[in-house]
Amino acid sequence: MTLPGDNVMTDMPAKKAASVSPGFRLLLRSALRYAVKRRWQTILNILGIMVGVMMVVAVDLANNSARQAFDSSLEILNGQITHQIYAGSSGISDNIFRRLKTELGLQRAAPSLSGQVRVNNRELTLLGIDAISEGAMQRSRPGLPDQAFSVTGNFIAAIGSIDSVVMETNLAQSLGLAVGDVFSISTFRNIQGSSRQATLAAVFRSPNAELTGELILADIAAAQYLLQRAGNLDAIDLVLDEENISQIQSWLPPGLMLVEADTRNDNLRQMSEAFHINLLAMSLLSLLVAGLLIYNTVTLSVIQRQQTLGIFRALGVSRRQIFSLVMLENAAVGLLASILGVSAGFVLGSYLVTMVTATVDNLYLNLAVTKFFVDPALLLKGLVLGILLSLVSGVLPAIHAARSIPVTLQHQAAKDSEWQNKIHLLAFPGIILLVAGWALLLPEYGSLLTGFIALTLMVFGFCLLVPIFLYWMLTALLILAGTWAGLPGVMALRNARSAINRTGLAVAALCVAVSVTVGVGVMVGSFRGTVILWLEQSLPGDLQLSAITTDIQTQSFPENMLEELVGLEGLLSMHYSIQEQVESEFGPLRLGANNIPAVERFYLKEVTPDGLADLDAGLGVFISEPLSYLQKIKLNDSISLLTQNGLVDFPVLGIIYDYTSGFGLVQMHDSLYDRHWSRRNVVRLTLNIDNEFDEDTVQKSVRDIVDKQGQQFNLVSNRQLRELTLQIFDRTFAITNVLRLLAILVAFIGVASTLMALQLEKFREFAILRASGMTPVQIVSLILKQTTVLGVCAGLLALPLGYLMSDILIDVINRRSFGWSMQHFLPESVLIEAFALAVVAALLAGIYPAWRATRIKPVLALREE
Amino acid sequence: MFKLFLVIITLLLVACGNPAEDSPSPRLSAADVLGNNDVEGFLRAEQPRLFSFPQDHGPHKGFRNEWWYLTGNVETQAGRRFAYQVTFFSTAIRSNEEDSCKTDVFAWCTNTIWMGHAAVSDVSEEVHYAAERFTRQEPGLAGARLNPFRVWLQDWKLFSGVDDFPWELEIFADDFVLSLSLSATKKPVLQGVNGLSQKSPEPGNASYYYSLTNLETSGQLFLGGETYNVAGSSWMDREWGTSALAADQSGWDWFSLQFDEGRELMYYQLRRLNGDTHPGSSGNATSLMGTQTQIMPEQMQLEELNTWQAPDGTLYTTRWQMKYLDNDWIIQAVFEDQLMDVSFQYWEGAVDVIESSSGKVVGRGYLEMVR
Repeated sequence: MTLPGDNVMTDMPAKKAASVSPGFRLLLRSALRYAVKRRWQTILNILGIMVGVMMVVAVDLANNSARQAFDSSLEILNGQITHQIYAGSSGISDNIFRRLKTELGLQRAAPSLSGQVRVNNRELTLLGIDAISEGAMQRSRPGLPDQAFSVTGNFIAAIGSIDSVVMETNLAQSLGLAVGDVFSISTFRNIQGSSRQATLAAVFRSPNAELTGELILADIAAAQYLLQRAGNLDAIDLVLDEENISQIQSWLPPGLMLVEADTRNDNLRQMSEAFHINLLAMSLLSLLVAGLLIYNTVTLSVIQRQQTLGIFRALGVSRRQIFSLVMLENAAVGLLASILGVSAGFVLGSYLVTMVTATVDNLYLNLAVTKFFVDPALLLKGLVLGILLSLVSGVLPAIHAARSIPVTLQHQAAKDSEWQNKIHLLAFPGIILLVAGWALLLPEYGSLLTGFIALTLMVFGFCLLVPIFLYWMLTALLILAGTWAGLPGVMALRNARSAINRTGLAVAALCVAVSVTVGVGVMVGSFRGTVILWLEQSLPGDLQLSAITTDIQTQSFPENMLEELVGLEGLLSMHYSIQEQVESEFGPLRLGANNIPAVERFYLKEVTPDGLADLDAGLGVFISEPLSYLQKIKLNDSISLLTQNGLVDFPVLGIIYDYTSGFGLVQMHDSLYDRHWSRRNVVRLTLNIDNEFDEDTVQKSVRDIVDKQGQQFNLVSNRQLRELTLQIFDRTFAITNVLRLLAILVAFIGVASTLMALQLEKFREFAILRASGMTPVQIVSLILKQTTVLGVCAGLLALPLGYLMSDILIDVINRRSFGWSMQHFLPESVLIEAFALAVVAALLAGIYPAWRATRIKPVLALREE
Repeated sequence: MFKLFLVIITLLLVACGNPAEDSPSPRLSAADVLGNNDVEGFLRAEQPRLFSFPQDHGPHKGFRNEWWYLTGNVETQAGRRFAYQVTFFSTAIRSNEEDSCKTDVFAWCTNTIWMGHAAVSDVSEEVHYAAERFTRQEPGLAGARLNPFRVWLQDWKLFSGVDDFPWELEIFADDFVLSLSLSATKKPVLQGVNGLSQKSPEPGNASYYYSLTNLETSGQLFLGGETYNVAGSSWMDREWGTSALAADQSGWDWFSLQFDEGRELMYYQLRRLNGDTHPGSSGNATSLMGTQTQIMPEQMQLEELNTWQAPDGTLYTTRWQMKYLDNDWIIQAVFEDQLMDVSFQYWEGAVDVIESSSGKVVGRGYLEMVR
């Protein structure tokens, strides 16, 4: 970099100067002394970068682990296969596999069935295997037992048995199980769950235990029994060559679909990718705040040392050397903070990974593997990012430092007032950035990346407007509260206004930091509020009754129980609901069907004029908003679903809000369902209670009737269902809340360090004030008032910026990532929290300078003047 | 003959792990498995029984092992010669008493695993093709039943429209397709003592064993893009039991010979670990009219004249001298490499029976060697 006026020592290479020159060594020593003297500021500065780097590293590691878990799960659950056969409805019949083998003689085919189970309060994946088919499959499934594994117990005893399982030795130990033990395995398929007994037939020691550490292996027969899925499979896994493909295509009975495994997995992967990008963006936002913080503190440190640097310049130290010094300081701070940040990120990442995988698990794919994978490249990336950030953020202040005029007296005040005129100029680019960001958001189907670019532009644009807003706010305060504030108050306000170049910057940094917490808080709050609203509108009836086992053969409601329920006083009506998974042109979707009038059961976004009546008449379907948005399906378009008669196009009559999962949802009337599917799966009974009766009493009577059937049915009230859904929601978004808390931490550190630096800079002023007769109490009051005012201003300005941010997060980022749109809710707690955060941090920031100010010895301080 | 159900175990090891912590090799010795002491809950071949046909062509529940084993020599009208072997072998993992498949809701629940081997020897080209299949029995992937008779393993099947002959055999392999029709010309021959074939001294180390020594065979063989209409004669062995080999037995040589004049002869010699023959060896001669004569080991003299070395170094005897009563034959493999190089290696192939004195071919047959 060439600096203006850098011609004093042009013949001396900077590098050589930096390493040899005694003058430079002197400079370094002065820098070190400064850092020690301002240790609180240095520590806060380091802390700010550290937390920023920590967040990026932790989120990176967690994301990466979740992706790896995703891929490993696919590898373990699917292995290397080319195709899968899926059926409509919930699963594929055993019959199909038999026919595939006995009619086509297909060798490389294996049944696939897995599911989440709970053992001793641990969530595990149960994977069903037909070991004999696997022999012919010859697919690589890393982590699954082969002859290299050492085994205790009898593996073969598990083959063909309905209640034997095997698992990795360490898992068995952690569950407190030994070979031969009988234990309970419960499924998640019902709210209360139900369990079946299994015997641990064998344990094996795997060379890659991390892949199998949360896996229970069972014969396919045992998997059906323990997962309560008698009669069906998830899919049939295939390894096919070209010839096989056409053979199977022409053989495949209607109602079945041959799917390329890679295509299907890529779809799932892309869906979950949006979630990872969101997390990364949040962590980068924090790093941005950290960057602003560095810029701010380095600028202040340069200003504070203007005089010292001026003396050095007068002594013949070159501009290049001063520039190098400041950059070296930045690098040192950056390096130290980054090392700390990467270490902390590593620790935090290992906690975040469970949250991130929980979200992916809830939204997209049952993860069989949840391990903390550490990619050293990510650690290095965090380190480099932290150092680069400190260097880049410090470049401008370093140039500023290098421009120090070699005189002993600085005319700071004159310069400050110069700045007051410039803040208007800053506002113009600010407005331009805001407009540019807004323009980027106009197209309905933009990419996620442009969404984030727009968000960044708008945040920067707003930052540039902060100084002028602050100037106006301070002026207004001076007018409104001038006399009431007293002398220290007036001085505090004037002081802050005259130093607008520094206070403006500090407040902008604080404002961004605080606004992140507002934006994310409002977003999550709105989401939660929307989900509650949706639950209220889309959950029909009062009680939901479902079969505990989902074995096809056992799935029906006994006649005598239904008769009793019909005769029950206080029960208004009953409706069947069908819920299953259906294959479509867009991959698997959820399908719901019942005969409840459409008016009662949907939270509608858009609907054709006669949509509700048409749905009840079985003329078409309603689809969920994410499906509509992500696949660009509009009203009156049609959607292709795999029915028992093959693919059928269904007209889209309405678009409904739905927040259940990353998959799409299709809803139709019973009559339409019956026309295309003969089998009825996962039947639920929705009961309406007469308003004139007491809900609890009726519920108890229903429970009595249901309990007569033994432990076969599951009765839940809508109230319980809502609670459960919100629990799942909270679990899914736990990671967002953690990141928000961390953003608050960065903001807090930012506020404290910036304001503290502002005050510490003014020490000579305070000494003069003390010498002129001001009491220590007055000075403390001056300091606290000023930091509080700045904190309040930052807090106030953060609210509109945060709200803008939440708008973008809700209407653009979330929509483009997940296809969800939500209602805007403004949780007061978030606003109060953010405002309190700014003010409390500001107050705290004032305490240390205030305490130091009381110990000023005016004489000593003035001696330097 | 006792087919190679240890192959199944071998496969299971590869597919899903090693059952014994102390034996790192997935290949077990024959004695390890055939001498399996875990016979609790299984029926055993301890007493002679009454055989009745066609019922006994069907499955026998309660025993650990059962097999349907066909070999045959066929040729086209132009005289191009082929030979084939097909085995359907089933083994139970658990005895019926331990059977946990009490409810038929869980269609995959299974006690039984099936193995199929099929091979074709193209005699004029001296090429041997082999195929192998494994499957669990349920849900209907393999099985055996009567009314009508049917044994199947995926798309391989031996079946009849009724319970009796003719039977149809359909085998689909990567290299060949067999579609043959089989009809018995003689009544079943009960091997051993009235069908109880003792393999080692301990009671129960035996099987029930009968043979259909002469099955008139005709049908089609698809090989190398060509269809051959073939006809000839086949042999079927049927055995079921629970355990067989004693600890000191390691393998066997098995001969099934069909003489042009209409006689048949079956003889197996069990081998000790050191290669010597075991006194448990036995055989049976069938006359033109179907009269049976048991062959005692002391009546039979077998001499190994020539060996062939498999790629893994194992030596197989491809030329034998067989002396029985006052007969003296040379048993000569139609070509040497008829190795079954599948999950478990053995040699199984077509042979010619040559009268030593005249050097004339007097019959054809099959030879199986397990080393």
